Amino acid sequence: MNRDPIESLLREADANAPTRQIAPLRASELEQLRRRQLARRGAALALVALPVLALAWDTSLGVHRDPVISTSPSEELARSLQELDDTLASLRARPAPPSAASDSAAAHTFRALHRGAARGDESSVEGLRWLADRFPETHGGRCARLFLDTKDEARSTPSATPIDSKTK
Amino acid sequence: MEALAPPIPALPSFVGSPEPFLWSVRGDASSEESEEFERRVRAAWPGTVRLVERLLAWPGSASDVEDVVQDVLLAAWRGRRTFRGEAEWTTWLHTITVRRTRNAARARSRRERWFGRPDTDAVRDAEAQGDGATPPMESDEVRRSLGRLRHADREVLVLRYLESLDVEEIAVRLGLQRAAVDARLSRARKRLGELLDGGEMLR
Repeated sequence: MNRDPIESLLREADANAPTRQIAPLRASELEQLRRRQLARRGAALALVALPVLALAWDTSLGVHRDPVISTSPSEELARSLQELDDTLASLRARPAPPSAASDSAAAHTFRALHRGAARGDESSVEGLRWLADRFPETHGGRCARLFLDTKDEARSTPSATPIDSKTK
Repeated sequence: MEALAPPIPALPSFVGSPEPFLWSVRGDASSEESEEFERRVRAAWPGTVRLVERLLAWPGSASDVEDVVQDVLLAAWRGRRTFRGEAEWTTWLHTITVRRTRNAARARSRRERWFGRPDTDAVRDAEAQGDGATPPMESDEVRRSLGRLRHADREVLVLRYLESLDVEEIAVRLGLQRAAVDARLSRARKRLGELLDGGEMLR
Protein backbone atom coordinates (compact mmCIF):
# COMPACT_ATOMS: atom_id res chain seq x y z
CA MET A 1 0.00 0.00 0.00
CA ASN A 2 1.36 3.40 -0.97
CA ARG A 3 1.76 5.93 1.77
CA ASP A 4 0.32 9.39 1.38
CA PRO A 5 3.06 11.62 -0.19
CA ILE A 6 2.57 14.40 2.38
CA GLU A 7 2.95 11.91 5.21
CA SER A 8 6.09 10.40 3.62
CA LEU A 9 7.69 13.81 3.18
CA LEU A 10 6.86 14.88 6.73
CA ARG A 11 8.14 11.67 8.26
CA GLU A 12 11.36 11.83 6.30
CA ALA A 13 11.87 15.50 7.23
CA ASP A 14 11.22 14.68 10.86
CA ALA A 15 13.64 11.75 10.85
CA ASN A 16 16.36 13.94 9.30
CA ALA A 17 15.66 16.90 11.54
CA PRO A 18 18.79 18.55 12.90
CA THR A 19 16.79 19.50 16.01
CA ARG A 20 17.42 16.08 17.49
CA GLN A 21 20.58 17.95 18.34
CA ILE A 22 19.42 21.54 18.01
CA ALA A 23 22.32 23.64 16.79
CA PRO A 24 23.41 26.31 19.25
CA LEU A 25 23.25 29.86 18.01
CA ARG A 26 26.39 31.09 16.32
CA ALA A 27 28.15 34.31 17.25
CA SER A 28 26.63 36.25 14.33
CA GLU A 29 23.13 35.15 15.29
CA LEU A 30 23.76 36.01 18.91
CA GLU A 31 25.00 39.44 17.90
CA GLN A 32 21.86 39.95 15.82
CA LEU A 33 19.64 38.93 18.73
CA ARG A 34 21.60 41.11 21.15
CA ARG A 35 21.15 44.15 18.93
CA ARG A 36 17.42 43.55 18.78
CA GLN A 37 17.26 43.09 22.52
CA LEU A 38 19.10 46.37 22.99
CA ALA A 39 16.68 48.17 20.69
CA ARG A 40 13.77 46.68 22.61
CA ARG A 41 15.20 47.81 25.92
CA GLY A 42 15.84 51.28 24.52
CA ALA A 43 12.24 51.53 23.38
CA ALA A 44 10.95 50.35 26.78
CA LEU A 45 13.22 52.83 28.57
CA ALA A 46 12.00 55.66 26.38
CA LEU A 47 8.40 54.74 27.15
CA VAL A 48 9.09 54.95 30.88
CA ALA A 49 11.44 57.91 30.81
CA LEU A 50 9.47 60.28 28.58
CA PRO A 51 6.52 60.90 30.94
CA VAL A 52 8.94 61.32 33.86
CA LEU A 53 10.99 63.84 31.87
CA ALA A 54 7.84 65.65 30.84
CA LEU A 55 6.75 65.87 34.46
CA ALA A 56 10.16 67.10 35.55
CA TRP A 57 10.11 69.69 32.77
CA ASP A 58 6.67 70.94 33.83
CA THR A 59 7.79 71.07 37.44
CA SER A 60 10.94 73.02 36.66
CA LEU A 61 8.91 75.55 34.67
CA GLY A 62 6.36 75.82 37.45
CA VAL A 63 3.54 74.73 35.14
CA HIS A 64 0.26 73.99 36.92
CA ARG A 65 -1.74 71.35 35.14
CA ASP A 66 -4.58 71.75 37.61
CA PRO A 67 -5.42 75.34 38.58
CA VAL A 68 -7.47 74.16 41.59
CA ILE A 69 -4.40 72.74 43.33
CA SER A 70 -3.01 75.39 45.60
CA THR A 71 0.20 73.59 46.50
CA SER A 72 3.33 74.10 44.43
CA PRO A 73 4.22 71.53 41.77
CA SER A 74 7.28 70.39 43.70
CA GLU A 75 5.15 69.74 46.81
CA GLU A 76 2.65 67.92 44.67
CA LEU A 77 5.39 65.79 43.16
CA ALA A 78 6.89 65.09 46.57
CA ARG A 79 3.50 64.02 47.89
CA SER A 80 2.89 61.75 44.90
CA LEU A 81 6.28 60.16 45.38
CA GLN A 82 5.57 59.70 49.07
CA GLU A 83 2.25 58.02 48.27
CA LEU A 84 3.98 55.79 45.77
CA ASP A 85 6.59 54.90 48.39
CA ASP A 86 3.87 54.08 50.93
CA THR A 87 2.03 51.89 48.45
CA LEU A 88 5.21 50.04 47.57
CA ALA A 89 6.06 49.60 51.24
CA SER A 90 2.61 48.18 52.02
CA LEU A 91 2.89 45.83 49.06
CA ARG A 92 6.29 44.66 50.27
CA ALA A 93 4.93 44.09 53.76
CA ARG A 94 2.38 41.61 52.42
CA PRO A 95 4.29 38.80 50.72
CA ALA A 96 1.86 37.19 48.32
CA PRO A 97 2.09 33.50 47.52
CA PRO A 98 3.65 32.94 44.11
CA SER A 99 1.08 33.21 41.36
CA ALA A 100 1.18 31.10 38.23
CA ALA A 101 2.52 34.11 36.37
CA SER A 102 5.37 34.83 38.79
CA ASP A 103 6.20 31.12 38.91
CA SER A 104 6.43 30.99 35.20
CA ALA A 105 8.45 34.21 35.01
CA ALA A 106 10.88 32.91 37.64
CA ALA A 107 11.25 29.64 35.77
CA HIS A 108 12.08 31.49 32.56
CA THR A 109 14.50 33.76 34.39
CA PHE A 110 16.15 30.73 35.90
CA ARG A 111 16.59 29.10 32.49
CA ALA A 112 18.14 32.24 31.01
CA LEU A 113 20.48 32.77 33.95
CA HIS A 114 21.42 29.12 34.12
CA ARG A 115 22.47 29.14 30.49
CA GLY A 116 24.77 32.07 31.27
CA ALA A 117 26.10 30.40 34.43
CA ALA A 118 26.79 27.19 32.54
CA ARG A 119 29.05 29.22 30.25
CA GLY A 120 30.91 30.49 33.31
CA ASP A 121 29.38 33.97 33.38
CA GLU A 122 29.75 35.26 36.93
CA SER A 123 27.03 37.89 36.62
CA SER A 124 24.57 35.11 35.76
CA VAL A 125 25.60 33.29 38.93
CA GLU A 126 24.93 36.51 40.84
CA GLY A 127 21.57 36.70 39.12
CA LEU A 128 20.77 33.16 40.23
CA ARG A 129 21.67 34.11 43.80
CA TRP A 130 19.30 37.07 43.61
CA LEU A 131 16.56 34.86 42.17
CA ALA A 132 16.99 32.28 44.92
CA ASP A 133 16.88 34.96 47.65
CA ARG A 134 14.12 37.10 46.19
CA PHE A 135 11.74 34.35 45.03
CA PRO A 136 12.50 31.34 47.23
CA GLU A 137 8.95 30.00 46.93
CA THR A 138 8.86 29.79 43.14
CA HIS A 139 10.10 26.83 41.11
CA GLY A 140 12.68 29.05 39.44
CA GLY A 141 13.93 30.24 42.82
CA ARG A 142 14.21 26.71 44.10
CA CYS A 143 16.05 25.56 41.00
CA ALA A 144 18.43 28.49 41.45
CA ARG A 145 18.99 27.47 45.09
CA LEU A 146 19.67 23.88 44.04
CA PHE A 147 22.14 25.08 41.43
CA LEU A 148 23.99 27.31 43.92
CA ASP A 149 24.05 24.64 46.62
CA THR A 150 25.41 22.07 44.18
CA LYS A 151 28.02 24.53 43.01
CA ASP A 152 29.07 25.41 46.57
CA GLU A 153 29.16 21.76 47.52
CA ALA A 154 31.42 20.97 44.58
CA ARG A 155 33.70 23.83 45.61
CA SER A 156 33.94 22.72 49.22
CA THR A 157 34.56 19.05 48.41
CA PRO A 158 38.31 18.41 48.34
CA SER A 159 39.51 17.10 45.04
CA ALA A 160 40.93 13.60 44.95
CA THR A 161 43.79 14.81 42.79
CA PRO A 162 46.59 16.47 44.75
CA ILE A 163 48.45 19.25 42.93
CA ASP A 164 51.82 17.73 43.65
CA SER A 165 50.93 14.48 42.00
CA LYS A 166 50.17 16.44 38.82
CA THR A 167 53.46 18.27 38.85
CA LYS A 168 55.53 15.28 39.60
CA MET B 1 51.26 17.22 53.46
CA GLU B 2 50.35 17.68 49.81
CA ALA B 3 48.26 20.69 48.81
CA LEU B 4 44.93 19.90 47.25
CA ALA B 5 44.00 21.31 43.88
CA PRO B 6 40.92 23.53 43.90
CA PRO B 7 38.11 21.44 42.50
CA ILE B 8 36.26 22.53 39.40
CA PRO B 9 32.65 23.09 40.36
CA ALA B 10 30.44 20.58 38.66
CA LEU B 11 27.39 22.05 37.00
CA PRO B 12 24.29 20.02 37.56
CA SER B 13 22.74 18.84 34.36
CA PHE B 14 19.61 21.00 34.14
CA VAL B 15 19.16 21.14 30.43
CA GLY B 16 17.44 18.25 28.78
CA SER B 17 16.25 16.58 31.95
CA PRO B 18 13.12 16.86 34.10
CA GLU B 19 15.10 16.36 37.32
CA PRO B 20 15.52 20.00 38.46
CA PHE B 21 11.85 20.63 37.94
CA LEU B 22 10.92 17.50 39.85
CA TRP B 23 13.30 18.51 42.63
CA SER B 24 11.68 21.94 42.84
CA VAL B 25 8.17 20.55 43.37
CA ARG B 26 9.14 18.03 46.02
CA GLY B 27 7.76 19.09 49.36
CA ASP B 28 4.82 20.93 47.79
CA ALA B 29 2.65 17.86 48.13
CA SER B 30 2.46 14.54 49.95
CA SER B 31 5.32 12.24 49.07
CA GLU B 32 2.89 9.78 47.53
CA GLU B 33 1.49 12.43 45.22
CA SER B 34 4.97 13.68 44.31
CA GLU B 35 6.20 10.18 43.55
CA GLU B 36 3.24 9.46 41.31
CA PHE B 37 3.78 12.72 39.45
CA GLU B 38 7.51 12.08 39.09
CA ARG B 39 6.93 8.60 37.71
CA ARG B 40 4.52 9.95 35.12
CA VAL B 41 6.69 12.90 34.13
CA ARG B 42 9.78 10.73 33.67
CA ALA B 43 7.82 8.39 31.42
CA ALA B 44 6.26 11.22 29.39
CA TRP B 45 9.35 13.48 29.20
CA PRO B 46 10.91 12.29 25.89
CA GLY B 47 7.57 12.33 24.09
CA THR B 48 6.75 15.81 25.40
CA VAL B 49 10.10 17.27 24.33
CA ARG B 50 9.72 15.64 20.91
CA LEU B 51 6.20 17.03 20.45
CA VAL B 52 7.25 20.56 21.41
CA GLU B 53 10.17 20.31 18.99
CA ARG B 54 7.91 19.20 16.20
CA LEU B 55 5.45 21.99 16.88
CA LEU B 56 7.91 24.78 17.57
CA ALA B 57 11.40 24.09 16.21
CA TRP B 58 12.53 24.50 12.58
CA PRO B 59 12.96 27.41 13.02
CA GLY B 60 13.36 27.71 16.73
CA SER B 61 16.05 27.32 19.30
CA ALA B 62 16.69 24.73 21.97
CA SER B 63 15.92 27.33 24.61
CA ASP B 64 12.44 27.95 23.13
CA VAL B 65 11.75 24.24 23.39
CA GLU B 66 13.12 24.00 26.95
CA ASP B 67 11.08 26.98 28.09
CA VAL B 68 7.87 25.53 26.75
CA VAL B 69 8.56 22.10 28.22
CA GLN B 70 9.14 23.69 31.60
CA ASP B 71 5.90 25.66 31.23
CA VAL B 72 4.07 22.44 30.41
CA LEU B 73 5.40 20.70 33.50
CA LEU B 74 4.50 23.67 35.70
CA ALA B 75 0.98 23.71 34.32
CA ALA B 76 0.69 19.94 34.80
CA TRP B 77 1.90 20.19 38.38
CA ARG B 78 -0.45 23.05 39.22
CA GLY B 79 -3.40 21.32 37.58
CA ARG B 80 -2.60 17.79 38.76
CA ARG B 81 -5.72 17.66 40.93
CA THR B 82 -7.95 18.62 38.04
CA PHE B 83 -6.96 15.45 36.20
CA ARG B 84 -10.01 13.29 36.67
CA GLY B 85 -8.72 10.08 35.15
CA GLU B 86 -11.32 10.06 32.38
CA ALA B 87 -8.57 10.00 29.78
CA GLU B 88 -5.00 8.70 29.84
CA TRP B 89 -2.61 10.93 31.75
CA THR B 90 -0.43 11.25 28.64
CA THR B 91 -3.44 12.48 26.65
CA TRP B 92 -4.05 15.10 29.31
CA LEU B 93 -0.40 16.16 29.22
CA HIS B 94 -0.49 16.16 25.41
CA THR B 95 -3.40 18.62 25.52
CA ILE B 96 -1.51 20.92 27.88
CA THR B 97 1.55 20.66 25.64
CA VAL B 98 -0.38 21.61 22.53
CA ARG B 99 -1.95 24.62 24.25
CA ARG B 100 1.25 25.88 25.82
CA THR B 101 3.13 25.47 22.55
CA ARG B 102 0.39 27.40 20.78
CA ASN B 103 0.82 30.27 23.27
CA ALA B 104 4.57 30.25 22.71
CA ALA B 105 4.12 30.23 18.94
CA ARG B 106 1.78 33.22 19.21
CA ALA B 107 4.25 35.09 21.39
CA ARG B 108 7.03 34.31 18.92
CA SER B 109 4.96 35.48 15.99
CA ARG B 110 4.18 38.76 17.80
CA ARG B 111 7.88 39.17 18.53
CA GLU B 112 8.82 38.52 14.93
CA ARG B 113 6.21 40.97 13.69
CA TRP B 114 7.90 43.71 15.71
CA PHE B 115 11.54 42.76 15.55
CA GLY B 116 11.83 40.46 12.55
CA ARG B 117 12.98 36.87 12.40
CA PRO B 118 16.67 36.08 12.92
CA ASP B 119 17.94 34.58 9.70
CA THR B 120 19.11 31.37 11.30
CA ASP B 121 18.24 29.05 8.42
CA ALA B 122 20.93 30.33 6.09
CA VAL B 123 23.63 30.14 8.77
CA ARG B 124 22.72 26.62 9.81
CA ASP B 125 22.46 25.44 6.20
CA ALA B 126 25.95 26.73 5.51
CA GLU B 127 27.21 25.12 8.70
CA ALA B 128 25.66 21.77 7.89
CA GLN B 129 27.23 21.79 4.42
CA GLY B 130 30.59 22.64 5.91
CA ASP B 131 30.32 19.68 8.26
CA GLY B 132 29.66 17.35 5.39
CA ALA B 133 26.52 16.29 7.22
CA THR B 134 24.07 17.85 4.83
CA PRO B 135 20.59 16.58 5.40
CA PRO B 136 18.70 15.78 2.20
CA MET B 137 17.61 19.02 0.52
CA GLU B 138 14.09 17.76 0.23
CA SER B 139 13.73 17.26 4.00
CA ASP B 140 15.19 20.67 4.55
CA GLU B 141 12.65 22.23 2.27
CA VAL B 142 9.80 20.34 3.93
CA ARG B 143 10.86 21.50 7.41
CA ARG B 144 11.20 25.07 6.22
CA SER B 145 7.76 24.96 4.63
CA LEU B 146 6.30 23.50 7.79
CA GLY B 147 7.82 26.42 9.70
CA ARG B 148 6.12 28.87 7.33
CA LEU B 149 2.66 27.44 7.85
CA ARG B 150 0.20 29.00 10.28
CA HIS B 151 0.55 27.34 13.66
CA ALA B 152 -2.99 25.93 13.51
CA ASP B 153 -2.13 24.18 10.23
CA ARG B 154 1.15 22.90 11.55
CA GLU B 155 -0.56 21.52 14.65
CA VAL B 156 -2.89 19.22 12.74
CA LEU B 157 -0.17 18.01 10.37
CA VAL B 158 2.20 17.21 13.22
CA LEU B 159 -0.44 15.48 15.31
CA ARG B 160 -1.80 13.49 12.37
CA TYR B 161 1.35 12.43 10.53
CA LEU B 162 4.20 12.65 13.01
CA GLU B 163 2.41 11.77 16.23
CA SER B 164 0.21 9.28 14.31
CA LEU B 165 -3.01 10.32 16.03
CA ASP B 166 -6.36 9.73 14.39
CA VAL B 167 -8.88 12.50 13.79
CA GLU B 168 -10.83 11.67 16.94
CA GLU B 169 -7.72 11.90 19.13
CA ILE B 170 -6.68 15.19 17.49
CA ALA B 171 -10.17 16.58 18.12
CA VAL B 172 -9.84 15.80 21.83
CA ARG B 173 -6.45 17.48 22.08
CA LEU B 174 -7.45 20.58 20.12
CA GLY B 175 -10.91 20.86 21.66
CA LEU B 176 -12.55 20.73 18.21
CA GLN B 177 -15.25 18.73 16.47
CA ARG B 178 -14.16 15.92 14.15
CA ALA B 179 -15.46 17.81 11.11
CA ALA B 180 -13.40 20.87 12.07
CA VAL B 181 -10.27 18.74 12.35
CA ASP B 182 -10.97 17.19 8.95
CA ALA B 183 -11.41 20.61 7.40
CA ARG B 184 -8.29 21.97 9.05
CA LEU B 185 -6.27 18.95 7.97
CA SER B 186 -7.37 19.28 4.40
CA ARG B 187 -6.56 23.02 4.38
CA ALA B 188 -3.16 22.41 5.97
CA ARG B 189 -2.28 19.73 3.41
CA LYS B 190 -3.25 22.08 0.61
CA ARG B 191 -1.16 24.94 2.01
CA LEU B 192 1.85 22.73 2.61
CA GLY B 193 1.52 21.39 -0.93
CA GLU B 194 1.51 24.94 -2.29
CA LEU B 195 4.58 25.83 -0.29
CA LEU B 196 6.48 22.79 -1.47
CA ASP B 197 7.48 24.17 -4.87
CA GLY B 198 3.85 24.68 -5.78
CA GLY B 199 3.28 20.95 -5.37
CA GLU B 200 6.31 19.88 -7.46
CA MET B 201 7.67 17.73 -4.65
CA LEU B 202 4.42 15.83 -4.30
CA ARG B 203 4.46 14.58 -7.85
